[in-house]
Amino acid sequence: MENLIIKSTDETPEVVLDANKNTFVFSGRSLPEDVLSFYSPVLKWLDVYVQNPNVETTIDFKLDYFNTASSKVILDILMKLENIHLANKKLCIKWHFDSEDLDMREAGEGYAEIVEVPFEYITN
Amino acid sequence: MEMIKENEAVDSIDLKAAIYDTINESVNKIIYEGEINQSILLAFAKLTEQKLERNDENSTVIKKVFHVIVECLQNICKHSEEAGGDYNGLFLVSENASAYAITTGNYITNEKGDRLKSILDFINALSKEEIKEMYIKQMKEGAISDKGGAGLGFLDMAKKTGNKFQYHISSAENKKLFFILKIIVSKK
Repeated sequence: MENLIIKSTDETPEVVLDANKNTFVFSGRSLPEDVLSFYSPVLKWLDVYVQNPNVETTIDFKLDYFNTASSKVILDILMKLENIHLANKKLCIKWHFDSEDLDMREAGEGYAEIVEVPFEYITN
Repeated sequence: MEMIKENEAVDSIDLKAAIYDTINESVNKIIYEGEINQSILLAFAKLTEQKLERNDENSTVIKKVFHVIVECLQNICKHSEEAGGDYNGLFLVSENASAYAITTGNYITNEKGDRLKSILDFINALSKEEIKEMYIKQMKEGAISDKGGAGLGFLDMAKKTGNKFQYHISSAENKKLFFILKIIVSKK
């Protein structure tokens, strides 16, 4: 499957979706004006990936900020990934946050409440 | 007239007083009136972040201030886009010993005025726990293509700041309304 790699900008995160290297990372900040426009290729890639995922998938979220519009899309991403877990393949979400950033921790916990996906919390 | 204290829910803010307060009493202020678009809001958010970092402000507080700026100004952009025309707005950041205040102002339609009043009054009446519950509930119910979500944005800011929204809606020319919103981010 072809990789999807997007470089970070002032308002969008770095996205690394590499099925061959089994590396999936979202890092940086997310506050684009048009969230759907930025994330649509990501959602499309995931739609394809979840149909034939790797034996084990670990997704690293290393976001230091995201706006409310992005928070909705992140939920969409997690809900697509949920399908991997429900298909009995291994999935783990690694939710990274600055040790002092309780809001970011809480955001992860909020998602963990909504989706049926194993979450691991990692402080920087 | 003293600056409105944090956690004090007020029904209206006198615009002149709000501006004079900011100019006369506050330090580290930003005062801007003009076009508000994505580039400009990014610049202001970054500028504020840098100012606060240089002043050794607590990193969590900086993040909250950054968030409020982004959410409020992006709301104005979105509204301007939906309402067609006028991307102008007012943006103030001020600081006193115990908190930062982010104030925005922009023209809105009558319908929007009614909606905003409902959302803000509703959220102001909620407890901390209720805000958290409502936030999760709205997240769950949100659709993929939901471009709206002004409710979620306000819930999020209420959750992160723990303070009430202060706002004022007044009549303006051309049958429009002028909406002022003031959000307090407490220092640690």
